Amino acid sequence: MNDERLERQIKTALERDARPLPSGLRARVSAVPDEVPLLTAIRSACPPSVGSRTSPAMGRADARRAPLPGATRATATHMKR
Amino acid sequence: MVGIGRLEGVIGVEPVVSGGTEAERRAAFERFSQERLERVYRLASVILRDGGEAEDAVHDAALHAWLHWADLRDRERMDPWFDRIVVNACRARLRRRTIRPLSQGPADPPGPDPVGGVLDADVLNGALAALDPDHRIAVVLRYTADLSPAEIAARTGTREGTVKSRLHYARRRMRSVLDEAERASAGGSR
Repeated sequence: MNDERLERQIKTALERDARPLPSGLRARVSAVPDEVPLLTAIRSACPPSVGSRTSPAMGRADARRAPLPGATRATATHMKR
Repeated sequence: MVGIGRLEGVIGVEPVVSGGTEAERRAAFERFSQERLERVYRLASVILRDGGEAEDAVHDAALHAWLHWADLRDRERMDPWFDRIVVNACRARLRRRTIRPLSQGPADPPGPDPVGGVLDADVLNGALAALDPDHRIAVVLRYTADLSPAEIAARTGTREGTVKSRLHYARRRMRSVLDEAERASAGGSR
């Protein structure tokens, strides 16, 4: 099979997966700027989830350094090595 | 078919990316996202092979784009920037799940097949679905969006050489799957 034919076959196969734009998506995307304040409010209102190593004030680097709940001093020392 | 790369500079978008009032920024984002919605949804639906998931991926991408809207400085880079966000949203979803197995096929009935036989398209479709997410994304961007390897690299955060390698691997795999199907078909008809 030559390259041209193979590429045509691939295009045809992929075309079968294409879907028309769903009717509600335009409105959903239009509403995106209004969602952000809502999401921010929800996030700030929720406490960190159970078992989470992070708190809202904790950055990623802090989270990496923070011991897991239940870790002993020995574990923390071991983790530092 | 107009590819993603071909659209750059064609659509007369003059968005107020940063600065301006909140209403102006919203209007610019609205215009920008709505003009590209059909194209990026189509892309997402082909990458994910699932209309519902594609809808969620495009919505996630729009949310991410709006959150970083003020950071965007270069108007020339807006299309690759948005495409990259969409591709990343799709990749994250692909990695979280196993792609629909071949036996279930696409959700909608396939359209007319002007090139090969239906058997070939079915076989290829299954083989394309089984590709690794990064390989599938490269193939979709190449053959659905008509992008060059350099343009694909800009949208996937990889090097052009990596894209070429992924496309080469995927084509070789597709060729071998088709050859095998043809041999099986010829053997069965004897």
